[in-house]
Amino acid sequence: MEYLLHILILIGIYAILSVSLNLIAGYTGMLSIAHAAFYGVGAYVAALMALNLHSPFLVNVVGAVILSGLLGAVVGIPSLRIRDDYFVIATFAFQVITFSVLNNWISFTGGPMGLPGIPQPTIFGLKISSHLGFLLLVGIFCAITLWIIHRIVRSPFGRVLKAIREDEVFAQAAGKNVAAYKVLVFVIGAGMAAVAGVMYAYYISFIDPTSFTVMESIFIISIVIIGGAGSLWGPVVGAVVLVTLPEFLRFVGLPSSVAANLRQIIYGGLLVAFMMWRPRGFLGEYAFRSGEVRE
Amino acid sequence: MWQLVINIVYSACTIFLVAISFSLIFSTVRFFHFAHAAIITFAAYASYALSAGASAPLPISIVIGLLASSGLGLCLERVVYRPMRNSGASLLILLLASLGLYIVLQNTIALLFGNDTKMIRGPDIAPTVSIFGARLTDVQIAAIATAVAILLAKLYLVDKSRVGLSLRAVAADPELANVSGIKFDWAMGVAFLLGSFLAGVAGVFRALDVGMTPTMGLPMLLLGVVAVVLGGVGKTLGVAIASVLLAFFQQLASWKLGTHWEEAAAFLLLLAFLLWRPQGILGKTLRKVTV
Amino acid sequence: MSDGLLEIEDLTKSFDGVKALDGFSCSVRKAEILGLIGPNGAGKTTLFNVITGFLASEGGKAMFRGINLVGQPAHRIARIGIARTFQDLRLIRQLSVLDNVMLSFRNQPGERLGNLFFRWKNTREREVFHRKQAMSLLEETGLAEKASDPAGDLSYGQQKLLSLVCCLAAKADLLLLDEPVAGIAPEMIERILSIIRKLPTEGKSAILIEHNLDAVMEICNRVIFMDAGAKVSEGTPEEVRNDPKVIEAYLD
Ligand SMILES: Nc1ncnc2c1ncn2[C@@H]1O[C@H](COP(=O)(O)OP(=O)(O)O)[C@@H](O)[C@H]1O
Ligand SMILES: [Mg+2]
Repeated sequence: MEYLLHILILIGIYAILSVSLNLIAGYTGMLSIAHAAFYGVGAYVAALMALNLHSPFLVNVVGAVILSGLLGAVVGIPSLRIRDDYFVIATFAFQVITFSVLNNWISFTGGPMGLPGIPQPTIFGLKISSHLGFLLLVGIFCAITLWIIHRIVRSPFGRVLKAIREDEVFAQAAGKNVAAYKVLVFVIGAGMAAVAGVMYAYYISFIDPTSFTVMESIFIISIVIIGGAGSLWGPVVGAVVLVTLPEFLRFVGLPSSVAANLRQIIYGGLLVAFMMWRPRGFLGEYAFRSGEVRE
Repeated sequence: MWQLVINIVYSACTIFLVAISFSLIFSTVRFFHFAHAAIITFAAYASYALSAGASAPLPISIVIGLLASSGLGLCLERVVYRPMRNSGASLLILLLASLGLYIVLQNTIALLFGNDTKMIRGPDIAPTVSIFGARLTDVQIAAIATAVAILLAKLYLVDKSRVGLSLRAVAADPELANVSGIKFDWAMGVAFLLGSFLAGVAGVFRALDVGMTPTMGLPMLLLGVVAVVLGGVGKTLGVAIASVLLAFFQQLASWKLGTHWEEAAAFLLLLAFLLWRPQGILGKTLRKVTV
Repeated sequence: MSDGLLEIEDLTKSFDGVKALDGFSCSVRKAEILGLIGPNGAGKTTLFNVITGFLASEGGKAMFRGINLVGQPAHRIARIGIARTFQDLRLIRQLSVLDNVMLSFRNQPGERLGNLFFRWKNTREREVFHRKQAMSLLEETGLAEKASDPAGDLSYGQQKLLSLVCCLAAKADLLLLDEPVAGIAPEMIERILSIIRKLPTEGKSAILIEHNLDAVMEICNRVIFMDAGAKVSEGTPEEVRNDPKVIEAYLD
């Protein structure tokens, strides 16, 4: 039973991550491999606040969202100057640098040893300690995230995002401040990823940099793409599939070292297969195009 | 002092080997072939499997390992990328597929060989040579010599040969207006074959020098990519200069801040370049979305 | 020139040393249609790109309602009352025809993030209002039955019509139309021209780039002939048509 709850909690966390990345990549067309960086910053900010300032859970959530959002703005700025694969590389660079800071700024982040002993969260006097409690908490934040994304993408704001994804020049000619939208979308997406990070930090009660690597970023973008970029529920479906599928390996009784590699092989293989035969993913409305070059 | 210079030269050469191998492919196919990182690793492990597993002599293992990595590169091109391209996949879709390929290959290697560091030969037989008081191993000297030879060959043979010219014709013609399908497929094959071979060279040198791990390819590739972006895609000399610059910058960072900041420093430099001069040191202006 | 809506002075733009605009000046009055003709490569499209902020002029100015457009970002220029179409036909092909029109309304509360969460009711009302407006625009122009089709599914002529409708939705005072009837069927040409013809009666002005000289002669109040980035001739359609310099250029 605990195991099942554990899987559901993980699905919830990855759903928040992929739904928020979908806003950046699927709706606005900015393919980013930096999402684990925001996830990590969220987790570390909350953990550091909880450990050093002993501040309450919800305050830490706000702190994590704000800091990660600021970082999101920084990552969003290159999207104004560079695009397509060069932008992917720029986000990659942010991811590597963030990981490097988490890993090497030992006096602050604990370095590779990580931050142990993150206390259990208390909300309105309610201490959350059971798996069920965490599932509820993650479920609530997941629902809020989905509701916000839903409202955004079904609104005129969302229409502008899709326009930017398809043709920035047309969007500008229609009076839309493309630069502001892009940066704002990054701030929103990064803030939401930070929420997932906070959930993770409190749930596991220990964090170290290995949870926020380049590979993790690639995993999150894979969820978005396999689930379906540019659709509201696609990334949720992707999170369910990619989190549960490798769990079956457990039942075959493989040693954990083999299972870890096999798990990666499965999702890497899925990513290749989808790109070859179904680049829109399960539910997707958008397959990544490169900006048309017109002269 | 000399040791520092020699270190920079050596590290520039290792960066250059990867960079030139990546640039060869990237300038032709124009998508980020991340699985190149796995090709680097694959060559090392293939050589290792032959020499340690099948106890073949080291030189022969290495040659076969390099050929195998060429073959793997070509195979990826033919089996995965080409069908995708023919069905009209965008450059970003190809990039994502290559990420998937990288994950599959890297983890397969890890499954087969384990995650621990493997040495292709014992550390005891690494004779060092002293040049003006700076110490270098034979492998390091060989790597420097190879990198310089490849630079010269690329500048004076490949770039001026028919193969080089047709590669560049493809690279210079993004809309493929003047390049036939056959020519394009052929150029693609050559680029992957040559590029994967050179990647293998980089991987084998690395393995000979400090040993191999299944994940060693990605940081190597990323540094190479930084050099390519800094130097300008398809600009052999630019990439060489950028490799030296990058090696120097990394040494500086590791001296001032500590070795573990090398990687972050390299990527900060990359970001600065992407924002300030995305076309690289010697490149022409990047084409942007324009009206 | 007190009734000048747009006053252009000395705009200059070169590409790799080639001058696409070479000290170009002109003015557009309120409620007039100005024809802009000239051979391919004369710099007509470049002029539009400079006016709308997609290219930076290397000098000169373009005054529109007391604001110098040179140096302003494209989206701001689009908001202060200038709408344009593109020679190479830009639309959001993946979005519906209706969405393309709705995208073109300026100043929608729903395009601001805060309003989605704090003024939702008002936002939704405005959206409903805009939808009605967009539908009535589509009805007037005969595109209503295609409203929910992706814009990319329309015929070429319908797409050109749609991009004009998008300019109408912008409620701009000045429309820059880059070859709006090039390459489309005659009856669609008539539909588009009839829309353009009506603009002055609504107090709107337009610059019309067109190679179809008959159309230009018929609906323009004034015509400028340009070549090599500079104005060669200006006057009524009759005057320009009979200008020896224009005749010479066209015979070349
Ligand atoms: N984005 C651009 N980059 C380089 N050259 C351009 C660009 N746009 C236009 N030109 C050049 O400027 C000149 C004028 O082009 P254009 O304004 O499109 O002419 P027209 O619309 O009158 O046919 C041409 O020589 C064209 O090649
Ligand atoms: Mg033109």
